[in-house]
Amino acid sequence: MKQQRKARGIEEDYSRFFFKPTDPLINVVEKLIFSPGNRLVYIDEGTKKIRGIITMIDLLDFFIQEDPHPN
Amino acid sequence: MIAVTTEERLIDACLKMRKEKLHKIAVYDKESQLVVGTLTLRDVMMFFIKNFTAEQEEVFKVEIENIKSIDIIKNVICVRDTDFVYHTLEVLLHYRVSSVPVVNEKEEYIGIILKSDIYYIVRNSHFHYVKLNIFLSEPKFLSNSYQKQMDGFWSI
Repeated sequence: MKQQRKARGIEEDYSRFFFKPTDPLINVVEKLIFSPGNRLVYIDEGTKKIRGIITMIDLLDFFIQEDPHPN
Repeated sequence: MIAVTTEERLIDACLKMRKEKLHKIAVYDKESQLVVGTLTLRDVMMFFIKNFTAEQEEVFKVEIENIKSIDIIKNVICVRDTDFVYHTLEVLLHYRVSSVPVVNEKEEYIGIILKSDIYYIVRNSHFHYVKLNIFLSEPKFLSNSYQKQMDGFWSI
């Protein structure tokens, strides 16, 4: 699959699949724009378990509010 | 077909994509009824980045955990490394998602399967993969990439 991905021109940059809750919104948006699966995964550093996920739709919900605001 | 006309507002297109869980929507000319293009969520995000006012841009600097209306902690649909590839296909279709994380018996993240991986199997007629479990179908895909994924993630 690795060779197949290379043949398909998909680079092996897996950081594109992840985010952290402490990432600024702009970083998450930029990553999501270029994320192959339209979603980013948040993994607990200690347990390596998946804690959450964020999708384009989640961000769309936020941006189409009348006045996007953190609170 | 779910679509918007060229006369509709961007917000209308966004609401339709939101309602139907679509990542792209066709745009057609109302008079000629011809499709003139497609609008994707990527296009919308790019528009927001480029067109937010200086005041609105402040929101981009906020840490995502501090934005209350964005829920990042939730139950995530996953597949097990021992699941059959066809089960992954079912999950992708049923939940209408573009990718699904793969976990092991300890529920540790070990990889991700994209719709494009499934398309690749179909396009190249590798149908025997579908009857195998994920790990057996391509052990290199998960085991070799695991450390790279972790390295890539933790080095951010």
